[in-house]
Amino acid sequence: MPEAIKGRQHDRQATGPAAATLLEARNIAKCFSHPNGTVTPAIGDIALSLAKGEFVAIVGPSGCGKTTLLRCLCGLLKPDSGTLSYAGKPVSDVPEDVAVVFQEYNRSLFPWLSVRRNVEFGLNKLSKTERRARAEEALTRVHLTDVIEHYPWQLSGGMQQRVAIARAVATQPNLLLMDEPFASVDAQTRIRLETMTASISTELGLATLLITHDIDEAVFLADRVIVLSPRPSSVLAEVVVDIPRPRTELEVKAMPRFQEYRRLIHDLIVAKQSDTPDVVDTPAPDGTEPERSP
Amino acid sequence: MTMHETRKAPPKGVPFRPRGRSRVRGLTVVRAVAGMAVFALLLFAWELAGRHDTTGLLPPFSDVAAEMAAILTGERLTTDVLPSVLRALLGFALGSVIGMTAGVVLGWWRRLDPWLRPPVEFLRAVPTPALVPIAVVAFGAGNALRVWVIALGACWPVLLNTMDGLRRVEPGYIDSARVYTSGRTTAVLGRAALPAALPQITSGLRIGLALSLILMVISEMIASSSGLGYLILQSQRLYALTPMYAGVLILACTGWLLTLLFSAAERRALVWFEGMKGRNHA
Ligand SMILES: Nc1ncnc2c1ncn2[C@@H]1O[C@H](COP(=O)(O)OP(=O)(O)OP(=O)(O)O)[C@@H](O)[C@H]1O
Ligand SMILES: [Mg+2]
Repeated sequence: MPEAIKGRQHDRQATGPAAATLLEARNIAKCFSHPNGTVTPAIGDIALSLAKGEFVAIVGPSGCGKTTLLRCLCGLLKPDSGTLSYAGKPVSDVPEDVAVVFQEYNRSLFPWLSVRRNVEFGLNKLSKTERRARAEEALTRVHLTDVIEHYPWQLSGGMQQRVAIARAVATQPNLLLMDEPFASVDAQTRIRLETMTASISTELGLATLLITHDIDEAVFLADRVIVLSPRPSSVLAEVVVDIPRPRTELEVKAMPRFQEYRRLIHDLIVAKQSDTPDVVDTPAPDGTEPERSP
Repeated sequence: MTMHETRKAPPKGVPFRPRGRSRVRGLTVVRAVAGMAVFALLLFAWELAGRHDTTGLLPPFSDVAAEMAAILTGERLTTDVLPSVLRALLGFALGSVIGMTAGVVLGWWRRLDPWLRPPVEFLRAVPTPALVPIAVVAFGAGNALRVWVIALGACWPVLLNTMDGLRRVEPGYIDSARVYTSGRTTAVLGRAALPAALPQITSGLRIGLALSLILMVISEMIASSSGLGYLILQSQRLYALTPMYAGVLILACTGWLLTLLFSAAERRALVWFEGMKGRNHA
């Protein structure tokens, strides 16, 4: 293990209910108003908390507001209501030690920078040699040292996603937010990336919040799975995944317990989808301004 | 563990080079030669026409070229040619700074838009040459006048393209930059938004450069005693047609040279943009 991260070795035992809370969201709600006057309620009412070093997965159907929730949690988007605190302080802008891997990797890596410089982007405060070392260390983790001088758009989707993960890891964050980071890769690459993510977050003691719509992935990776309802989303259930680590794909997926968790979560989502009518967007009362991104 | 992607990965350790260089090189040479041949043919036609001209309105190319050489090696180089080029470049630089600054303000702080848009739209509608008489009153008939006229004309395309470019920046880049700079506005702007908008800003600059040369000539034709515009106008008044044509030719060469330099700089700065386009269209 590289020298830089040894000191931050983390003990998974600390992630009991008594462990220190890192991120806490209470009664978060967010609506989008469209120029034509309709209002889309994206997040109904969500409360969640994340302890230091904990790995939490959020699952929910497509379009239920997962990306919106993530943008709220890291301070990119201001929720309409609710309170949000990170490390005990209210969140206004993106906190220093939070890193994000976005859903659309090809729109989040900078095409004018080489892979190396993309990974170094968040390390501006360090000296040049330190930056280089950190970037190389992070790229080694994701097995990308051979394309270090390439541009991101020269790489395949899975490689770009790994660059995005390296960029996040290089900043040595305390909280890592990932938005469906493995959605666009083939099954084999996906399993490798999942395993890699699990080991990175264990080694570095990262609190990780993984958004996904893949139930298997959630159960395989997380200490706790938060299940969201369809839009406007709220927390349907929280499932604590009691499977020891380190977990290996084949072993875990063969466990009866894994299958039980899967079915439980699956049933929660399906039951909810069938017994609630589709939410209809409501016309905006007059005078509401359409939402604009930043 | 080795990680092999199923999709084609670039070969190990080979950094990016613009694609297809060597394959296309032969073709490029052929094209360049063809272009030169047509160009030479045109000059030859001019030469012939000039020699058989009886009206005295068209001196042959060889005379004009000799005159051009005389101007470029004589004292008019320092009294007319260089001052002109310098004014155009200074005006262009000043206009670019003004245009980019205003463009950033208008494109980035969108809340200012309702206040600033009407005056901007109005000012933009004023043809710059119409400002020359006003500028004469304001700055006198000196270098400052000409540089300012050029700057005020050249700033518009830069301003509009900077503004538009910033507004179209992919929101994903801004999100990333906010996360990895902890939301510091100057960093988000300088390290993500401006580089992302650079291709469009560059097209603004390119138009600004062409405008600068036009405005240089116009400004030198009014209340002037030096410069290429002056040289051309003065020669025409004295019915010295050979120097007049030579002046036009020098102007053309200057414009061509500056555009060439600009394109070279642009290609260097936007390697990523061309490469990305190439990949997406491949
Ligand atoms: N900037 C925006 N302006 C208007 N509406 C938006 C905006 N962003 C998201 N929405 C709406 O909010 C809802 C939730 O979107 P969001 O992207 O958060 O869903 P998601 O759960 O991440 O979906 P997916 O699983 O497909 O990624 C959608 O109905 C979407 O149309
Ligand atoms: Mg999403």
